[in-house]
Amino acid sequence: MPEPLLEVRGLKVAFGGGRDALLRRKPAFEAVRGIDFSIAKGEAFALVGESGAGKSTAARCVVGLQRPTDGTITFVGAPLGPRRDPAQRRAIQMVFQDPFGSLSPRMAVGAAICELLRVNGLAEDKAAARRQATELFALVGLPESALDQRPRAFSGGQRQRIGIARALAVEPTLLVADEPVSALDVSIQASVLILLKRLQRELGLSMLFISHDLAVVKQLCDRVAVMNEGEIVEEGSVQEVFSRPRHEFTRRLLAATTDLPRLEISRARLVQAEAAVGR
Amino acid sequence: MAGSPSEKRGAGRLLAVRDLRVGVGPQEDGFDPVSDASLHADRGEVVGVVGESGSGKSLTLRAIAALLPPGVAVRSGDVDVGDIDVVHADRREVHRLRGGAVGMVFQEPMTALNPTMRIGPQIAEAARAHRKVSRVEAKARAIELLGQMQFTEPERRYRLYPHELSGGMRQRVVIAIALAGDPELLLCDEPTTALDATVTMRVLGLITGLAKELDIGILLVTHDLGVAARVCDRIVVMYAGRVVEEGPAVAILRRPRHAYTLALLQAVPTRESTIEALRAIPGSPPKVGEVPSGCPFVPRCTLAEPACEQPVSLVEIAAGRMSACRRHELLADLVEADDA
Repeated sequence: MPEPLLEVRGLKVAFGGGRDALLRRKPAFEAVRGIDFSIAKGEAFALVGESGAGKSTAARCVVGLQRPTDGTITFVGAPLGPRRDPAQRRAIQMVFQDPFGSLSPRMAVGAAICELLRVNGLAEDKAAARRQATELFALVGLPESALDQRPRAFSGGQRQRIGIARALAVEPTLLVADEPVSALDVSIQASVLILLKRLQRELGLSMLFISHDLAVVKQLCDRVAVMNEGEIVEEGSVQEVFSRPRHEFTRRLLAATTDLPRLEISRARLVQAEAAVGR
Repeated sequence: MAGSPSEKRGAGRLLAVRDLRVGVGPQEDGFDPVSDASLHADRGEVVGVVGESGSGKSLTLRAIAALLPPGVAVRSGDVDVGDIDVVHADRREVHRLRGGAVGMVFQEPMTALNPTMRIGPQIAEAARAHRKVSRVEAKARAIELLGQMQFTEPERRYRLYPHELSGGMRQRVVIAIALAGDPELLLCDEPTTALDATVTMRVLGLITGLAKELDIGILLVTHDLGVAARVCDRIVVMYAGRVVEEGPAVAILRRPRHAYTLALLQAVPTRESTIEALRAIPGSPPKVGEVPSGCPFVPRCTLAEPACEQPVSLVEIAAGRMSACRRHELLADLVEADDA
C-alpha cells in the first residue's frame, strides 16, 4: 500500500470539563473517542453517522479548525499541529454545508476569490487573478458574469458551486466536505454531486466526505468509516460495507437509507425521445 | 374537471381541496405561491405531498388548517374538511376544527411544546380542550397516548420536561398532542426532517400505523421522496405552486406520468444507484411571481414541445391517476417492455 496522504491516529476531542465554581471537576464530553483512519492519494473517504456522532468534529481537526485533545494527524509524512504553515493550510481546504458562511456578503464573489489568489501568491496581478477566477468558475459550471455578483444573488446550488470554487482556488490536495449537499433541493443536489465526482476524476482530488446520508456516500466515495458515539464502528470499501454490513449500527443506518422502488422507464427510449424533441 | 376522483364524495372522504389559489399581497398586483392545487384524502390512507422548496406544499397544508401567515390568503378555490368549508367558515368553527378533527405536526417539535411544562399535562390539556373530560380522565388518556407512541413506562415519562427528551421523543409527544383531540385528519409538515435517519424510520412507522389502526387520514408534506416512498399510499407531486401529478405511490414512483416527476426520480441518489445513472435537472425552479403561464416545468424539461407553453390543467389519465403533463402518453410509452 502506498504511503497515505493523511493519517489520523488515536484522535480524541473532549469538550467542557475543567472545574466548576467550587473547583470540582466537571465531566468532559468526549465527542471523538480515539479514532484511526487514513486517506490515500486520490481516494474519496467518507465518515458517516448520525448527528452527534463526532464526524464533523473529526473533520474540523483535520482542517485545523478544532484542536484535538489527543492523537496525531500526519499529512504527507509530516505531523500536523493546530499551528500550520501557509502551505499546510492551503493543502487542506473545506467545503461547508452552508456555503454562505464562507462568503463575504459585501464583496462580489469574484473579488473574494481574486483576493484569495493574490494573498496566497498564486496570481501575479489583477488580470491574472481574474483570469484564474474565470477558469475556476468554468470548472464548477458557473459563467464569468457570476464573478461580479454578490453571494445573495445566487441560489443554494450556485452558492455551493462558489464554495467549491473558493476551496479549489488555493489548489488543495485534500478537500474536506462537510455535508455539502444536505441543504440542497433534490433537483439541485444531483448536479453538485456530479460536479464533485468530476473534480475527483479530473483533478485527482482526494476527499474527506462527511455525511449522514449513505445514499450520497454511495455515489461519491471509495471507502467509508461508520461513526457512532465518537467511535468508528466499522470501516471498509463502500461496496463491501453496503453489501455486507457487519456492525448492527451500520445495518440500522443502511435500513434507513433512501430506497425507491425501481423506476420502470427505459433510459434508452427516454434518450431517444429527448433527441427527437431536440431541446 | 367533472368525473375526476376529487369530485366524487365518498363516505370516507375527509379532505377535498379544489382549485386552491393562495396569494400574497394585494389581489391585483400580488402573486400566487399556490395557484392550482387540487387534492383529497380519505380515511385510513397516508397521502404524501412532495415537492421542492417553493413548490407551495407547505402553504397548501397551512391553507387546509386555516393557518396561513399574515398577508397570505386563500384567493379562490375550496377546502372542505368533513362537512366544514374551511375557507368560508367563521373563526369559531375553524378553531373547533384545529386540534379537534384536524391534528397538526410540524417540523420542529420544540416550537410546538411548552418548555416550562411537563409533557404529560400538555397532552392532557389538548385532550380537555376539545372534549368535556375530567382531569383524571385526561391524565389517563395522556398516559395511554404516550404508551401508544411507544414510550416505555408512560406513567413515569408523563412527568418529564421537553428538554429531557431527544428529538425523536419530542416529535412523538407532538404526535400524541395532535391525537389527543381525536382527529380524523392528521396534517404533518416535514415531521421527520429535523430527525436522524434511524429515528425518522421509527416516527414514520408510528404515523403509518395510526392511519390503519385509528382509521384516520394523514396528509404528509415532505421534500424527501424516500420518506414518501416508505409510508404513502398515494402521492401528490407539486411544482411551482401547482399539483402536477397524483396517483398511487408505487405507480408514481415506478411509472411517472409527468416529466417533472420523472426528472426528480432520476435525480435522487439511492442505496442502489450509482452516480453514472444520476441525472441532474438543469436550471432551478421558477421564482414565485415568475412562473410561466404554460406548464411551469417547460424551461427545465427535456421532453417539452411547443404546445407545452400553453396553459395545462390536471386531468385524469387513467383510473386514479392525474397528470398535468401534455407528454403523459409519451411517458407511458417509455415504460420498459415486460419482456425486457
